[in-house]
Amino acid sequence: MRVLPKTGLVAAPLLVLLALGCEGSVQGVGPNASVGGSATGAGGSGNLGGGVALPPGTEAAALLPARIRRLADAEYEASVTALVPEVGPGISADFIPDSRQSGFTLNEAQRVDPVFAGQLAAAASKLAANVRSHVAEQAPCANPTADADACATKFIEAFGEEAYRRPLAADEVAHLMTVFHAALEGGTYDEGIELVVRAMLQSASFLYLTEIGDVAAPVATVKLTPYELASAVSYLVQGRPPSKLLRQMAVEGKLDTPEGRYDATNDPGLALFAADNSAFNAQTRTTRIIKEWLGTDKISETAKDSNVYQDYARVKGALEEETKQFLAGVVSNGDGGSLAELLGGAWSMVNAPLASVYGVQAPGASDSAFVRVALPNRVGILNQGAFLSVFAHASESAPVLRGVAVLRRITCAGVPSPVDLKKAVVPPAPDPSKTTRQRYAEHAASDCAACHNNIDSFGFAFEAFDGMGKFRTRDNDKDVDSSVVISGTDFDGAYPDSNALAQAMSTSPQVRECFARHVYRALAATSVPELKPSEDDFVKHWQTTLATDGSGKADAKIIPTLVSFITNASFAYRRGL
Amino acid sequence: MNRRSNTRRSFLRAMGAGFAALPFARLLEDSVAQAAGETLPLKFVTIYHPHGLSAEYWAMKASDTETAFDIGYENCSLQPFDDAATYGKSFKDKLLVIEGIDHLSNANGHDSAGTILTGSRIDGGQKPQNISLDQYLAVTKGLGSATRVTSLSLGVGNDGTAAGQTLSYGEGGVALPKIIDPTKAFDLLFDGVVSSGADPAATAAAERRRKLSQSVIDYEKWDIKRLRDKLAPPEQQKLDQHLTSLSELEKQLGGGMGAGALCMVPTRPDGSKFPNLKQYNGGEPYFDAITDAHLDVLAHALACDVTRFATLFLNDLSYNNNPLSLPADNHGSVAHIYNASPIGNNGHPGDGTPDSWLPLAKFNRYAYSKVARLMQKLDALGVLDTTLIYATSDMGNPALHSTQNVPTILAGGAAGKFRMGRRLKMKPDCPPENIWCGQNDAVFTPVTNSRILVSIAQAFGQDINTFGTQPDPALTTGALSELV
Repeated sequence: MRVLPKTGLVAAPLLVLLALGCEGSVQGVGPNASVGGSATGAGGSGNLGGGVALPPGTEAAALLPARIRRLADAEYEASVTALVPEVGPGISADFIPDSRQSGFTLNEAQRVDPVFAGQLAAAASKLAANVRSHVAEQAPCANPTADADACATKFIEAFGEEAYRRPLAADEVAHLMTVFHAALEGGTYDEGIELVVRAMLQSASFLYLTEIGDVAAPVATVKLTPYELASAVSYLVQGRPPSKLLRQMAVEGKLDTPEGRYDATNDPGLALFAADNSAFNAQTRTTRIIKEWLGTDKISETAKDSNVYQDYARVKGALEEETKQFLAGVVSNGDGGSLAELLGGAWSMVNAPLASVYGVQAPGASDSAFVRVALPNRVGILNQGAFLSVFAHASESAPVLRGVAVLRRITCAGVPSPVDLKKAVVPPAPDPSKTTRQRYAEHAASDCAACHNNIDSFGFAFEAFDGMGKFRTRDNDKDVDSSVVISGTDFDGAYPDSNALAQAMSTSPQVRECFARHVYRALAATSVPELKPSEDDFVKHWQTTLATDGSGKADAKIIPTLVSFITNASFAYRRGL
Repeated sequence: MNRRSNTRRSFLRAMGAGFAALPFARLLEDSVAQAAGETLPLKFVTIYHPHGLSAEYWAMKASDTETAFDIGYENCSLQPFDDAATYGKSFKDKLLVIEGIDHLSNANGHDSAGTILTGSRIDGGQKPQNISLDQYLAVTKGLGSATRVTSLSLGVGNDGTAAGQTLSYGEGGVALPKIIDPTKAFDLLFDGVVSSGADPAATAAAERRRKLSQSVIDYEKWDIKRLRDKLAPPEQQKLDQHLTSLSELEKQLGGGMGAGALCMVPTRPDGSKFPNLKQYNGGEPYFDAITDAHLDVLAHALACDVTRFATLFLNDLSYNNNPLSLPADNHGSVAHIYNASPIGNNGHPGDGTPDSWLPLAKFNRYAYSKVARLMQKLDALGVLDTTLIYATSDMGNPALHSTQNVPTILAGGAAGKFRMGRRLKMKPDCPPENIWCGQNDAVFTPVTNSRILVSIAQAFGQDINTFGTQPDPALTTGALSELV
C-alpha cells in the first residue's frame, strides 16, 4: 500500500502540477494528495495548540484525525430505511459499489462522484414521493392554506432531527423553508413537503458522519459531540442510525466515558447487540466485517471455468449462504462468538447440493433448507468452500493467492507484492504431468524463493481442496501432497494439511492479535500505515479486555473485540488537523 | 469550442436577442454552421474489449502495405470494418490499425486496463498515478463544460472501479464509475430534454421540474459549504468533489445551457430486454443487448452534442450457447488456451497451436463488430467525420497476460486530425538479436500508448508533449508522428 503524503505536503504536489502544466506535460506528480490526508502528531498543517484535555494514558498521536466520512452504501440504505421504511429496502441495490480501504467498505476516503450524485438524487425522489403519500400522518396540517409555514417548520424540525441525527440549527430550518416555498409557489403543501425530503436525503448533513467536535477554530484535540458519539456507536455496532434513546443518553453524557459506553453496550433498553428483525443490526454488521476481513465477500464476483468445475455454478449461492449461517451460528454463541471456533470449528451449515459437493450426509437438508453438519475433513471457515473458491483461479487451485491471503489476513505477516519488487508475474505453465504443487516448485529454485518459501508453505497446505473448494486426494493423476513446514510464526511446525494448520492458528496469540488489528481497520474506516499509532493504541486497550481462558489457550471473542473499539478511551477524541 | 465563428454570429444576430437562450438554439446553430462548411466539435470515444488479441487473424500480411491492405480475408477479425453488406458501407478509409504498441502497466494483465487512457504504471494492484486523457480533456481543459454531460462512462456487466475494470480516472487517479444500465444512461443524457413541438403544458411542467431541482441543488451546495467551513483543508477536498458533482447535475438541468430540443431524442431503451445486468449473476445472456442499447444511446448523445467524451467497457459472452458458438468460459477456454505463433508471441519462436487461434479471433471479430456498429450509427447521424474512436484491450497475448503488442485501433473521421485508411507497424520493442529482452533491459525500446494519448491531446488542440507516469519519462514523451 502506497504511503500517502502527510498533510503538510498537500500544497507541494499542487505547485508541482502547476509548474508542469506550464511546460506542457501531464505526468503523475507523485502520491495522490486529495485523499483525506492525515497528519501524524503535530507535523501537519502547523502546530495546533489547545483543545480538550485527554484522559490519562491517551496520547494525541494515537487519536484518529478529525474528519468526515461518507456513509457506505449499506449504511445509506439502513439510514433511509429507518426514515422511509416502505421504500428504503433495496433502494441502493444499483448504487456504485463502495470503494474499499484495506478491503473494508467503511471508507473515509469514499466520495460523491457525478454518477453517485445522480443515483442519490433519483433515490431521494423515490423516497420523497413515498413520504408525500403519507403526508397526513408524517406532516399533518389541519389548515394548509393558513398554516403551511408552521406545519412545514414542525415537519422539518422533526424529520430533520431523525435524518441528520441531531437537532437542526435555525439557519438550516430557514434554508429548508426556502426549498419548501419553491414548491409551494404554484404548487401545494404536499409538494412542498416532498421537495424538502428530497433535499434532506441528498444533503451533506445526512450523507456524511462527522467526527469534528464543536469548535470555533482548529485545535489540537477535540471531543466528539454527544450526537457524533451516538452516531459513531450506532453505525459501527449496528450499521444504522442512532435511535432517539441512544441520542438522548448521549446528550445526558452517558457515552462520554469508557465506562459509560460499556454500560450502553449492555443496556437492555438500547439493545445494541440484540438480534432484532432488522436487516441492519449487530449480527449483520459483524458478519459483514468478518467477510470483508477474510475476503469471502468476493464470492459473488467469483466465477469458475465450467469445464473444470461443473458443480460450481450450482452451489455458488449456497457457498454464500453457508458463510452467512455459519457466522451467525458462531457469533450468536453465548459470549459473542469465539475466534477459535471461527477458525477451528469442524462444522458448517449446508443445503443438499452443498452437502453433496462436500461429500457429507445432511439429513433434513434440501435445496433451500440448510442444516448443521459436522465436517470430517474441514476445519473452520478457511477450509470452507467460499474462502477456497475466492482464493483460487478459474480452473485450478491457487497456492499463492491462498498463501498470501492467510499471511496478510490471518497472521499479519507483511508480504510485499511482486509489482513493488519490480518482478513480472508469469504463472507456471499448465502441465498435465505435474500436480499444482509440483508446477509451483520453480519458485524455490529462483530469487522468488525469499518470499515464496513462506507464501507457498501456507498455500500448499490447502492443496487437498481444488479451485472450488472440493476435497481431493489426487491432482492430475498424482497424489496430493499438502504437508508443509511453517516458520516465522508463533505456531511453527510441520502440518499435514490446512485443517491441522487451521486448528493451530485458531488458538494462536499472533492470529488473535491480527484479528483485532483487522477489526480496527474495519471500524476506523481508514488505511494503515499512517494510523499505526492509533491501531497500536487500540490493540493495547483490547488486550486488557481479554479474558483468560481456563484452558490457557488464547482466544478472542468477536463481539467483545468490536465493543473494545468503542470502550477505548481514545474513541471519543480526535486529533485536530 | 465556445468561440463562435462569423457564420454563427451572423446567424444569431439574424435570429434576434433571446434566441441563443432557447434550448434548441445550439443545434440549429450547428446545422447552419455545418451547412456553411464549418466542422462540428471533435468527439472522443474509447472502447475497451477484453481478452487481448489473436494476432494470427489481425496482423499485417506480407502482402499488405501501409495504404493497401486486406482485412476481408476469411476469419480476419477486422472484417467488420470492410463489410458493406452488413454495415451499409466500408469503413476501411476511416480506420487506422497500429501494431506494436505496448502498455507499460506494471500490473498483472488483468489489472492493466487503467493504463489505457492514463499511460500510467499501476503499482501494487492499486490505481493509476495520473488523470485519464478523456478527463484531462473534458474536465481539466474544460472541453466538456459546454455540453450537458461533461463525460460519459459506460460499461457492460461490470460496475466495479478496480484498475482492471476502469478506463476513466479523475485527478490523482480516482476511478470514475461506469453506468451499466442503458436506461440509466439514457436518463442521464436525455432526461428533461423536451422535444420540439411539445405542448405548452409539457413545457411548463418541465420548467417547474427544473426549478424545483435547482432549488434542491442550491440547498445541497449551501449545506456542503456550511460543513466545509468547519473542516481542515485535507478534509475539505472530500466535499470539493461533491460540489463538482452537484455542478454536473446542475448542468444537466439545462438551465440556460441548451440541450438541443431539435435533437432527435432516441427511444428510451427497453429495460425488459435486459432483466439482469451484472456479470457472474445471470447478466451474461443480456450483454449483447445491453451493448447494442449503449451504442444506440451513445451515438445519439454524440450527435445531439449532449456529450463529447465517452468510454465504453465491453464484456464477453461467457455463457452456454452464446451466439458465437464459443465455449461458455471465454476467459478460461478461449483466451487462456490461445497458443500463439511468433506473430502473436512477441516474436518468440514456436509454432503455437493453430486450432487455438480461431476461437479468440472470433471473439475479437465480435468486439470489432460493435465498433463498426457504432461507426454506422454515427455515420447515419452525420457525426462520424468528427468523432475519434480509440479501441484497444488490456492485453496483447492474453494467455501470457502480456501487455506488449496490444491491439490498437483508431477509427472515425477524427475531423481530419489523423490520416486514416492505413495500417502501421511500430518497430519491435526487443531487437532481433535479443527477442527475449525484458522490460528492464536497456535494449527494450517500446512504443507506448502514451504516444497515442499525446497525439490525441494535440488533435484536441492541447499543446502538451507528454502524458502518463513511467519511471523513464522518455516512455511518455512525444506524439506518434506516424498518425498524421
